[in-house]
Amino acid sequence: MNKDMKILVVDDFSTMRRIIKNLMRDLGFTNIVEADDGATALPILKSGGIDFLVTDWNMPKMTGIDLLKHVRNDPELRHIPILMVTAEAKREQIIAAAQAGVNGYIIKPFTAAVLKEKIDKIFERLQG
Amino acid sequence: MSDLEIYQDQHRFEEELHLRAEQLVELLNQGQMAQAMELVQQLNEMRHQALYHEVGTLTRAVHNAIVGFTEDVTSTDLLQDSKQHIASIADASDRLSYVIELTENNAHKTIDEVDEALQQVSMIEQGFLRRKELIDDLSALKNDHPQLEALYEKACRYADDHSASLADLKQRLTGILLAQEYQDITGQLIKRVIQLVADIEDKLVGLMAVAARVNNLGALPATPDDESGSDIKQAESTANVQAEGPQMKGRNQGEVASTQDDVDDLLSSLGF
Repeated sequence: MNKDMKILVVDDFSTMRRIIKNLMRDLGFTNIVEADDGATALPILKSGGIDFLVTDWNMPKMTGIDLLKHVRNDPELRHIPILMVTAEAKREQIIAAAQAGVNGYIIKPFTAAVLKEKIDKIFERLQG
Repeated sequence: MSDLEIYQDQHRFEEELHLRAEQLVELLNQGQMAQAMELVQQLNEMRHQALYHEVGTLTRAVHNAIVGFTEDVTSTDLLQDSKQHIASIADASDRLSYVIELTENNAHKTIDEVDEALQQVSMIEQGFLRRKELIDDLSALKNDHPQLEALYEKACRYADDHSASLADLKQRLTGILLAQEYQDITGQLIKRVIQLVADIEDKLVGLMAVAARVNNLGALPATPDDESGSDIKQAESTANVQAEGPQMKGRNQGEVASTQDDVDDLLSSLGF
């Protein structure tokens, strides 16, 4: 796993963006950009260079699940691994996210260890 | 309206119903069909009135509760420090938005402190790295100078102890950082309640508009299909107008306040 990869963190709560960013930095990832919902995330993704997307589900304007579908339907972006970090914990929601092509799913509140484990797993699977 | 008043109202309605039912049986027994039908009509109207009254009272109560909530919180001394800020907030939804803002600001302050502390920890860590270099130098020297052996071992022991507690400190600071995620979860819950409060009031006001129309039409039996059709249209058009309500929640205080006044005016004009 390349620690210099560019990561986009999408969440409408600035507190949560900061927490995820700090935890990522702790894991050695320092190249992080932010967006506050799907609508502002898309142009950043389209401008290129994003290697990994971490997104919340429940956000104004464009939700995380819509962003996920957008990315998977865009030939330029569909290869980007996506980790969902969300308070949405219903079975059917997790299934919907899986069907839409999410690579990992973390339910808030979460721990630093869970974040590390899911990221490791995503990139192990991609390389394997 | 107190529970007692509601009880008395219902009681009166039931009494009236009993009375008229008895009259109806009497009229039917006497074969006075025309008068009997008129009584049925009156009963129907009574039911309308009672329902309309209940809905109106409920709407007024909810509206007053929402307005009252704002006043209650403003008057508490607990929030003395923030009073200036609070005075400018006009309604309950804005107040809940303020709770989100307040917790968010405080979560950021905590994260600021954690960031600062983590930087200090990494500075101390760098200090330890430099000391480790010194120990390595000492290690090289002690080969030529055996009398440095005791000093070398002492230095090693101190360095190890501190690196363990530094790692522990770092972990605890990360714990404090992660604990701030409550703000995201409480914020989402509060946002939903804000939406709910706005929706309930909108729906009740919409219901009042429909009920007022039904009431104005009274018990006229003519063309019932047309009437119900136009009621539905009325309900739809009110619903469409009110769909904008939740979107401006907490964002535009002027508009929210005027909506509150509109609700007041409408309820008053309908006699509630």
